[in-house]
Amino acid sequence: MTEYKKKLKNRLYLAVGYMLIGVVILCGGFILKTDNSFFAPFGAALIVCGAVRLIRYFRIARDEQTIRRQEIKETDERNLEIVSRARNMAFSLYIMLGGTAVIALQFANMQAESKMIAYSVCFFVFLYWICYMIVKRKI
Amino acid sequence: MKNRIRELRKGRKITQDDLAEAVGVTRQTIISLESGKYTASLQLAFKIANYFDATIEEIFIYEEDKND
Repeated sequence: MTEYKKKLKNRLYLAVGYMLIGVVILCGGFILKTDNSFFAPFGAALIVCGAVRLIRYFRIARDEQTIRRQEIKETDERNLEIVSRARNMAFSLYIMLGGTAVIALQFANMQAESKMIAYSVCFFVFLYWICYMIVKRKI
Repeated sequence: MKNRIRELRKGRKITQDDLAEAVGVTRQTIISLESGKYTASLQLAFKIANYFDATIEEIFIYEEDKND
């Protein structure tokens, strides 16, 4: 079995897992007679999410040619480069917009909101620093 | 980085789809390579060179950056 087929199988197990957890949460909410405004929608969302993934799995795994086509689509190096660059751009924009918002909110006298965004920006930068150290060790 | 992919492909009457399938990328990647918008990784460059039975230098032409 190729690496990609193993990955597909894992996705199948994950989809079934989502559905099972969804059923447990949904039923648990009813059995325990808790406030279903959280459990019922959350459980139902997990079931739907699992079902969508399951349908997607069967659409891909129906024949060898479709599997190969999907594998190429997912491992295409240009596509991976696009994903990586888009993520970099999103990160940079988040930091810049966050920084601007922190200053703007200070002027608008919205201290609490400004502080929240400042913490979030700092956390992201800290996370980036940790990820940089991890990746640096690998390559 | 320039390349001769289009020239070699047309010379051998191969479609972009065929080449993409053979080297394991999408047709869009071949289009981008041929138009010079995207530069292939070393691994893909080797695959393309092997496919055309040529060396990397015969397909990819390195142009030194004017700023270097």
